Formats: sequence, structure tokens, C-alpha cells
Amino acid sequence: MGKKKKKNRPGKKAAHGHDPVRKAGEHLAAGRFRQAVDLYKVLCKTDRDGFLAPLKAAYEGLYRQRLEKGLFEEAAMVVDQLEKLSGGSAFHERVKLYLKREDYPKAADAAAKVLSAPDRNSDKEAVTAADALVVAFDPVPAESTLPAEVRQDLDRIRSALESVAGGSRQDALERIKLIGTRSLFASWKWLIKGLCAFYGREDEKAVAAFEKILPDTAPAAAAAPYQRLLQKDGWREADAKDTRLTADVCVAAGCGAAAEDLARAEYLWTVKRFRDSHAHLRRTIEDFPTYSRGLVRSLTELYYNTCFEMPPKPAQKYVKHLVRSAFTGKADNTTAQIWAQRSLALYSEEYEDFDPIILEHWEKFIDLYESRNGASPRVRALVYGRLGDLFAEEMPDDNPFSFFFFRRRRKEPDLRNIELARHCYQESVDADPQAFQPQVAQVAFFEKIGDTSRVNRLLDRLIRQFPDEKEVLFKAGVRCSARKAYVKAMNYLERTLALDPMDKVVREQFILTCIVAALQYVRKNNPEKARALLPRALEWSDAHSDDFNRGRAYLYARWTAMAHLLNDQADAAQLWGQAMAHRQGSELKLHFFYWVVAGSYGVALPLSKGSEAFVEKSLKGAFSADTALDCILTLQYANLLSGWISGLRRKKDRVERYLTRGASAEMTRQQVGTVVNFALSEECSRPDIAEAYVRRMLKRNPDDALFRYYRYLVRLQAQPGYGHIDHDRRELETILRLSREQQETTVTLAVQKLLRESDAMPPSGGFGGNPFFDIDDDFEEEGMDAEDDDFLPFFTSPPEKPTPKKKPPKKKPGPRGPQQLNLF
Amino acid sequence: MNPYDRLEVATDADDEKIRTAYLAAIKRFPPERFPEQFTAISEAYQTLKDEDSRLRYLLFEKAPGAASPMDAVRSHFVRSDRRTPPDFKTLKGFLRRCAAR
Repeated sequence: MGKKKKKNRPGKKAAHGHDPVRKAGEHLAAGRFRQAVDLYKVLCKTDRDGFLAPLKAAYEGLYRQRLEKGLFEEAAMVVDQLEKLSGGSAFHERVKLYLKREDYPKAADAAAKVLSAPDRNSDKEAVTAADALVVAFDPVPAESTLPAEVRQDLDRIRSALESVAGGSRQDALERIKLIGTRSLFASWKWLIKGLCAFYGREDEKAVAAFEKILPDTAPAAAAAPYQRLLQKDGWREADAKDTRLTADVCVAAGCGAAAEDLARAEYLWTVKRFRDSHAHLRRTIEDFPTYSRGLVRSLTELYYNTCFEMPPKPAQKYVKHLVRSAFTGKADNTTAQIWAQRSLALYSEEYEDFDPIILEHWEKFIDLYESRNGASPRVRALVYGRLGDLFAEEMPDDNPFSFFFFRRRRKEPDLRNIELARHCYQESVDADPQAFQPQVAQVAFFEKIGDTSRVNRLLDRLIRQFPDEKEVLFKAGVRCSARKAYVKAMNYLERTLALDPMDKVVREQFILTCIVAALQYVRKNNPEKARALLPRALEWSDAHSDDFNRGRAYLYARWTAMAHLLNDQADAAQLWGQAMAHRQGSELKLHFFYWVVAGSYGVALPLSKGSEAFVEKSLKGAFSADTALDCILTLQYANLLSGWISGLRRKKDRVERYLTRGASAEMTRQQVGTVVNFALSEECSRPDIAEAYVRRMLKRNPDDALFRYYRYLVRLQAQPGYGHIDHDRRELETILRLSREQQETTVTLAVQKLLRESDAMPPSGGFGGNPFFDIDDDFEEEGMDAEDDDFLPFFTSPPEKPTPKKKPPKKKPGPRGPQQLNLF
Repeated sequence: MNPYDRLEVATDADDEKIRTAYLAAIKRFPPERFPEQFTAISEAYQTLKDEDSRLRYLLFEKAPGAASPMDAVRSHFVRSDRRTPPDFKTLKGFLRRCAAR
């Protein structure tokens, strides 16, 4: 049984009857224009003047509604009513109606009548009429009574628009030159100016021109998508909801044919329906995805690469969708299949644990690619090369606590999948035997796994195949040097230098090879050959460098030591004279360096006594930051040298004592940083040096990120369990914040690593707690400047660790370690 | 925007054509007047300069290049070296639709 309609509900009637004015107002405000019109019509009978305006507003609303719904006949009737009410002034609505109905001749006719009328129309009407005349694009009939100036401006605008579309921007600008700013067509003039600037890539001019257009006019609506394209903040998500604007933007951007499809795809994308968005484009754009250039290619890259920006799970779903959509449906789907398979293979690299699956995905990709493009050895070589690199990646240490145990690294790295890496590198080389890069990658792989015989064989082959490749020659040089085939090594390195004389790494490698070769000759008592290598090394040295390897003074000092070894005292004296003459750094540094290399080469002690005396004298004098730094740098270099150096330990102690004297001396922040770095390293046996210097810097600035990080390392060194409890973590977080503020990138990276390692730790107490904090509870305080004295014992060792001088198993290097290269 | 469109070369263009297009592009966009475009053009050239880098781009590039389809349209058009206006028929239709609003 149907629902009975309640007629003449007393309540409702009463409400109308009681306050129809209020009700009519409510209808109008709520967009219920039909009801509003009915009520206002009744009200107008009692008070026409009072209710005429709201009645017109209700009619206008009703007209807009009908127009939007495409009910043109009803809209026309509403316009008739409006005209009756206002005595024929609903021109604006009538023209819009004609335009909506695409009845341009009628629109133009109505517009011409308005503009021909002897009494001036309202500005709004006149502008609407002008817009209608322009977009009608029909020639004005000769019998029309349009004023001459209107007719002229109209012709100018129309022809200028044709010129814009034809790409004749200059011509368009010429045509609108005579249109005045007070003309009815002024907004069209600005639109054309804006379009000319836009298509001429003069964006600022275009923006300025578009801003001068009157609002609520046809040119304003036409300028909107261009203005949106030119906005600096890119495309906003909110824009996608306005599908009409989106479509207009597509027209302005030259892809009008796909405007609606792109607008839909954009909407779906904005509401995170990425798969639907992709599917929509697959359905509607015939050549999507593509390998050709153009907008569709950009869209292809967007849709097939977007998974790499997604979180893992949505990415997995999306990639599955790409694959399913490519491998089902259309018969000729190879391009989509290649793109989808590529996405799957790249995705699997990130998330697939089982390596053979990754290999399988890429091999399927190669098959698809070759089925479309024919055999592609380069593609094959590149893909296998990439897989080789992937499988040859060094695995991170699986023990997250190794850092806290200061465990030594194993000599051979743990690679991800050696067998697959070996297979892929071989496939890569086999695919394109003439290609250089795959072979170099293969050599690097064998170097990584320590297969030196294979490296040597491959390098020999590479040298024959690519005699002029710098990378090969350099590798061969280094390899020969490691095999102690110095003559061959120097030959390769000189050939490398001939190709790139400015490469500092190659120059340094050559110099180092000359030095070790000369030492060999010295030990074989072949002075001529040893001496002959000095000019060759000097040729590639740097006259203005104070570097221990590349600096000329230090090369002369080395050959001085060699001359002493050969008992050629005259030559030694002459060479030392040269060393002093070419000195770029301090005399102390040169003497100390000479003493170090003489000790390392095995020169008799009396022959380096002079230099030692000089060093001792300097260290006995008043503290100087420069002296301290020179000694530190030399000791750090000495530490890189192989072999035992007589008296070096004593000299280190001497320098350390010297450094303790300077804890309160005037030094720059950078100088203090160098001292702390040294004091924290393995070379230094006095941790209290680092403590004193760090404290002094933090007294100066308690928020210095670098020195707070050093303080953390000092504590860590004193107490290896440190770093594990919440206090320490908070301190690390504070350092991280400060380092970001102070742009201390090295500290930021180091602290981030510590925090990651701390995350992997077991719950607090796993390493026996941290007794350190029992004696220093102030650690977490932020503003420590006032309480700095209370904070003094920050390095004080806990009671159960009474021997602070005891050397820890291995120390964490500071963020600024020595950079010098030394191969012997 | 993909580097092929940035340099206005076909995807099968060889090294020489790409270099010619690159030189023409940097002539149009000298660094002192158009630093942003110049950088973008140089990057595009680095991506396409030889077969190896072109293939690497084709096979392994993971950047989507845009944030959404319309962002792709926008960046494709705004950053394009040459902007082509719609033909007169399309422009006419577009203006008529705008006037009817």
C-alpha cells in the first residue's frame, strides 16, 4: 500500500501564514528559488515595492539553476519574467542564455541592439554585449547600427585573436595597439596581451596583463587557467576538485583533446585512487604508456614511477595493478608490459628478499624489451651490470652492538650474494664484450672479494682492449704497485697522467710509487736509479703544497733520508738544502717529518739527530697552537707509515705532555677541534687531553654541537656502556638538534648513525647499566653555562674503572680524521 | 618534464642531434638570464648525452617527475621551451565556453 500524502497540513500552512516573509527569505538563502519565487509573487501583490528586489533575486537564482541544468526553455521563460519585472533589462541573462544554447547569431544580434541604443546602457550590460560580439565571431552586418568605434575595436580584437592562434604574436599586439583602456574591449586587449606574453615565455608580463582584466567577464574566465598555470606554487590538490578549471588548463596547455580525461584522472589521483586514475588513462588515452616524447611520456613516467614514492604496502598493490593491467586486456600491449615489468623489477630491488626473484623479474624485462626492440646487448649489459652491483653490495654488520664493542672489521667484506653477483657481472661482460664499463665493474667486484689473480688477468686484458682508458690505466698502475712491479706501475700511471695531468689522485699515486720504487733501489744499493726517480716525482708534485705526499719539500726530505741510507752525505746535504728552500710549512714540521721518515726508512739515528733536536727544542719552548698542530699532523702521518719507528712512542708522549700545557692557551675553535680529534684517536694515550680541551670549548659555548659531540665520544671512550641509557639518548638528540641549527653536517650524520645504533640496542641495562650517570645527573640539563663548574667531573671515570690511561680496544674516530693518502 | 621534451629531441635521436639541440637550447636560455632553465637544460643533456646514459635513464630512472597528472601537464607546458597556442578553432570554442559562464 502506497504512502498517503498528507494534504493541507495545518502546521505547515500555519507557518507560511504566520511568517511568509521569513519563509521566503529562508528559501532564497537556501537556494530553493522556485519556492522563493512563489512566496515573493504573493508578497508582491501586497507590497510590490518592498518585495520586487527579492523576487528578482529569486528569479535570477532560478535562471542560473535552470541554465546549469541545461533546461534552456525554462531558463528562457524565467528571463521573460525577469524582463517583465524590470522593463526589459534582463539583457545579461538573455545573452548568457543564447551563448549557453550556442546560438551566437542571436547573442550577437541582442548585443548589437544593446550597444546601438542611443541611451547608454549600464557598464555591465555593455561589457557583456561586447563579450558576446567577440565570441560570436560572425561578421557584423553592414546594416548594423553599431557605433563605428565599437565596430573597429571588435574587428581588431577578433583579428588579434586569430593572430594569437596562428602564432603571430607581434601582429596581434599591433592590432590591439589602438584599443583604448576605456574601451568596452579593454579586457580583451589585456587578455590578448597576456596570451602573447604567455606564449612568448614572458611570464611576469603575462601575469601583470591578466591582472588588469575586469572580473566576471569572458576574458577573465579565459585568463583563469593561464593564471593557474603561472602560479608559482605548482598544481594544488584543491584545484583538482574544479574539473572545469582542470579542463581549461589542459586547453591552455595545448592538450585540449584529452582535457576531460586528464581532469578525471587528476580527480582520481587527488582522492588517492591511483590505480583507478591509471586505469582511466589506459582506457582513454590510446598511446598511454609510451616511449615517445611528449606529455604522454611525462605521464607515463609519473604513473610507472610513482610506486617508488609510496609506502611499501600501497606500492605493492599499485605495482600488482600495473602488471595485471598490462598483461591482460589489449592484444598488442608490449609497451605497457615493458613499463610494468620495469616497475616490478625496480620495486623488487627494494622490497624482495629472495635475490633470484629479482634476477627473474629483470630477465623477463629483458625478454619483453628485446621482443619489441630486437636484440639489445647494451640493455642486457646494463641490466646485468646493475644486478651485479646490487648483489655485490656490502651487507651491513649484522651485530648492532659491534660499535659498542669496538669490534674490528673483518678483512673481507660480507657481500649480499657473491654467486649471483659473479654470474651477473659475467653475463654483463658476455652481453657486450666491447663495452668498457661492465668489465671495469667486474674488476672492481673481484677486487672486492680479494681475487687478485683474476683482477690481474682482467686488467691485462682490459689494458690490451682499452689502451687509452684512464680508469683502466690507473687501476693497472695501482695493481702493479701493490704487486711491487713499480716500473710497470709508473709506466701505467704516467700514461694515465698524460690523459689527465690535473688529476690529483693519480699524481699522488704516481709520486708514492716513485718513493717506494726509489726505496727499493736504495735497498738494492742502486743509487743512480733511486736518484733518477726524484725528478720524475718532482714533476708531478705541487710546488705550493704543504702536503706530506705532494709537497716538494717533503719529497726532498725523503730523498735526503735515502741519500743517508746510501752513505752519500754530500748529496744528502744538498737535498736537505733543497728541502729547506722549498718549504711551505713550518721548519718544525719539516724537521719532524724528516725525523719520522728517517726512522721509518732505517736511517741511523745520529743522521737525524739535528732534526730531533729541533723538535725537542720546539716542544720545550712556550706553548704555541701552531707547534701543537704541526706535531699532531706529523704524528698522524707517522701513524699511517708501515714499520716500527724508533723513539716514536716517546715522541708521542712528549707531544701529549706539550698538549696538556696548552689546554688553556689561546686557540681557535678549529685548532681545538684538531687537538680533540687527535686526543680521541688511537695514537693518543691521554684521554684527559680531550676532556680538558672539550671542557674549555663548552665553557665558551655550551651549545656548541661539535664539542658536545666530542664530549659524548670522550664519555663513550671512558665508559663503553655509555650511550645506552635514556639520558645519553636525550643528549644525542640535543646534539642532533644543535648540529642541524649550526649546520654541522658531519656531526649530524655521525649522531644520526649513533641514534640508529642505539635504536637497535636491547632495553636499558643490557650492558650492565651505566654507572657513569650515578655521579653526573646534570647531563640532561640544557642550559649548562651557569652550572658548568658543577659539571666538571663529566669525564671522571667511574670507581670500577680506576685506570684512565688504559688504552681502549678501539676508539671511535672523530668526524674530522686525517685525509692523507699513504700506500706504504 | 622528461629530458627529451626539455631538449626537444626525439627519443631515437643520436648523440650528435642531442648535442645540437642542447647547444641551441642553451643559446636560447643563457645562464645569466635564465639560470633555472639553463640548469634544467644542462641536467637534461647530462641524462641524454650518450647512449649509455640514455639507456640508464630509460631502464633505471625512478623519479616520477611530477606530483600528479595535472602537475605533469603544468610542468610539461610551463617549462617547455616553446609554448604553442591552441589553433583558432580550439581557441574559439574555449572562449565561447568561457563567455557562457
